[in-house]
This record gives sequence, C-alpha cells and structure tokens, in this order.
Amino acid sequence: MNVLVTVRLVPDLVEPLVVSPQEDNLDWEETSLVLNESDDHALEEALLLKEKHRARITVTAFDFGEIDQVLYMAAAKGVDRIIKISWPHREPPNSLEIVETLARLVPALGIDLVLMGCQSPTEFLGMAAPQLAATLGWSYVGVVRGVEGSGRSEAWRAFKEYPGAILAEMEVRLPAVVGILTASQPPRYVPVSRIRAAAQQVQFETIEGPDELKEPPAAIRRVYLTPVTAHATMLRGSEEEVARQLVELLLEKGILK
Amino acid sequence: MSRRIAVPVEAYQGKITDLTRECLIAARLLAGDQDEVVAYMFGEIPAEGNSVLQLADRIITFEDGQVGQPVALAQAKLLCSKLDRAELDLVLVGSSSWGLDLGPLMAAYWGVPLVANCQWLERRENSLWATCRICAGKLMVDVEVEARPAVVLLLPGSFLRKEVAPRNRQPVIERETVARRNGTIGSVSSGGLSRSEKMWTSPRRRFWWP
Repeated sequence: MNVLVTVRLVPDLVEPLVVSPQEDNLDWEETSLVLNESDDHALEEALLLKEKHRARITVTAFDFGEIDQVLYMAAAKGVDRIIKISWPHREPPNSLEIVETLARLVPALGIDLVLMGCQSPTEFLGMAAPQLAATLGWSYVGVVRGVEGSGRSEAWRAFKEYPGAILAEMEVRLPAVVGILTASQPPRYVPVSRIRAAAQQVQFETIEGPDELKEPPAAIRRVYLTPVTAHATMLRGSEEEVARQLVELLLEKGILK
Repeated sequence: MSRRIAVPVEAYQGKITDLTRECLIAARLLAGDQDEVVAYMFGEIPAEGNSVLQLADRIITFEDGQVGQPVALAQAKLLCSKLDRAELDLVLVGSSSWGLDLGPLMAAYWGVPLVANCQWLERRENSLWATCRICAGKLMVDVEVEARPAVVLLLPGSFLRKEVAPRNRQPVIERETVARRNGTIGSVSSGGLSRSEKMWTSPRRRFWWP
C-alpha cells in the first residue's frame, strides 16, 4: 500500500502573532512557524502502518519557511520518499492551492491512502483534507484517532471521535483520504543526531507548485488579534469562603440548581 | 424572493445536539420572517426534538435508517443530490466532528465557498459577513461572502445565548424515503458507536446510495 502524508507549517501559537499593517493577513515574516500538530500525528500513523502492514510512505510539503528541517525529521523517522513542492511566495499556500497540487500529484504517484491533519489552525476558507477527497472522488473520513488494517486489502478501519466520548469504528474502502486528529500513539521522538545524519543522506525530489494562485472563496476584510474581554478571577479567602464563592458561581451560571 | 437556509440536523441516541440548536437559532435570526429555514433530519425525529426543530419552517426527514448513522460522506452525497443548489442561500453546519466532515464535503461537491470556524454571521445588503476565530482563538478574521450558496461551519457557543421570538406556526414536516441501488453509498460505513475505547461488536452495516 502506498501512503501519502502532507505536512504543513503553521504559526507557533505559543509565540505572539503579528498582523500585517494592512490588517489583511498575518505578518508571515514575523511569524514563528512549527509543524502542524495533526500533520505530525498523520505522519506517525503512517509510520505505524509501515511497521504493521509494510506500507510505503511518501511525504510531500510545500517549500515554505524552514520546511527542510521537518522533512529531515520525517526522513530520520523512516519515510521512503520525500517530494518538495516549489512555492516561491511570501505566504503559505491556501487550501485550494494545496488541493489542486495534491489532486495532480496523487494519481501520478499511485497512492492508495492519503493521511493528513484534519484541520490546521489557519484553515477557515476551505479545508484541504475533505476537499482533496471530494476532488479525487475518494472516500473520506476525518477527525480520526487511528487507522488499522481490517484483514481485507481494500477496506481499512478508522476510529472517529464523536461528541460525548463516543468513538465510532468506520470501515473505509480504499482509495481514501483520512483526516487525522491524533495518531494511535504520540508522535515518536527522533534524536537530533539521527536528524543530522538524515540531512546528510536524504535526497528530496522537487516538483512545481500550482500554475496560478487561487483566490480564496470569500474576501478577507480584516484580520485582528482577539480582543481581551475578561481576565481570570482569583478566588481568595479560606477554604470555606472559596467553596461558598464557587457554589454561588455555579448557581449563577445555571450549572447547579 | 425568499431565500432558503438549510440546517442539517445532528442527533445522537435520540437527542438533537445543542450545536444544531445554535445553528437553527443563527438561521432563524438571519432568515427573519422573509426567508425560509429548512432542517434536514437523517432518520426519525426524536421525541425530544420537536422543541428544537420548531425553529425551522420546514423539516425534511430522510426516512431510510441506513443514513441515520452519522456517516458524513454518505449524508453529504445525499444532501448534494436532494437539495436544489439554486434555491439555497446558505448551509449552516455545526463545527463538530461530524460537521467538520459534512460541511467541507458538501462545499467541495458543489464547488461553493466554505467558511469554517465561524462565530458570528450577519447580512449586510446582499453580502454575508462572517467573523471567524482561528489560530486557537488568538486571531479573528472578518470575511465577506458574495457567492451563493455558501457552506458555513459554526463554532459551538456562538449563538448559545441568543434569543429568538417564539413562532406561531408549526413547521411543515416532509418525509423522503431514500431509494436504494446496488453498491455502497460512498464506501465509508459505520460499525456503530460506543462509549470510550470499547468497540462496537455488531456486524457492520452498509449504506446505500440512491
């Protein structure tokens, strides 16, 4: 089975975010980038499929920011092939551009299963994973916590979360796109020495990005930092006083009746 | 001409979710008295669902139990085949694990705009304005959507405390039976739902596509 994993860099939400002076986007030059967390989990899930079912893993990424470091890390973890998509722009690709590129690439690579994060923190005008599935005409299930073989080569099991701690076992027929929320186990740690070694040895293949930039389906009128409307309230006093304040608060909010 | 706002209903174990109620409140506020709110229910209307669904002008139920399971791929294909896109202004879907599959699939099948992470919606003349919360809530974005219909994923809590005036008339209920054909509805099926880590053990069901 051939598995494709797409990894994306997204703003590091631990760092302060900076909005562009025109208030129409993030200031990407001032923004620290990290690997999208759910893409990291998608990579881990693919590695587990490789270990259990001898899947062959191809990783793709747009050449934006310090993506090489992420790809070296993927190589050190044991992926089989890395394809970098050229992207000479100052902003990362939007969902439509990702979908268009992958929809061209996936059939050419003979991919059976695409694993990618079900959403990224900056996706709001489009969502790449489900929209890629619809474009390819493939099966899709998202917000998934793990994928397993079912004993039949064409059907795989995906575990999807629903509200109220409900987990559904879905049978997914390949070819399919699966939007990963978390992997079956936390992403594995790779020592820096192995990443350095991979950086010395790995060869990236490179392909062209989309022919033209895609306008988002809605006009962005303003981007701004979320206004702070309230701060945390510290409850002070003895244990009894704090307990009384808590009960009053719960009654006020309608949680206790 | 009146516009139509569609709200696919999410229900589990005989209970319509609070997020669906919020979507219906948002739809009602946008629709006012002029436009029509249509709720699309997969399976039978739960006994406790009447008060929530009264926010709609019409309720259309798909009576085939096989689409009653929350398999978004099948339901997205069903809705895209049944709904007349030309009559629609907006599809409002809750941003739940189900809605995060259903909304983007519908937008992609139809090739219409998708606005996710929406926490506020309003009409300004012919445009729809949405405020989206991204980057784990650290950033807000105001967007203007001109193309119609649009699919909007509403964040939980956005319209929770909004009041809607009580309606005098009962919604019209229409029942549609989903015809079957040979083959699966979309090649994703559900083995069932279970609490926590314990897996459902009943035989898997197939979903059929009309």
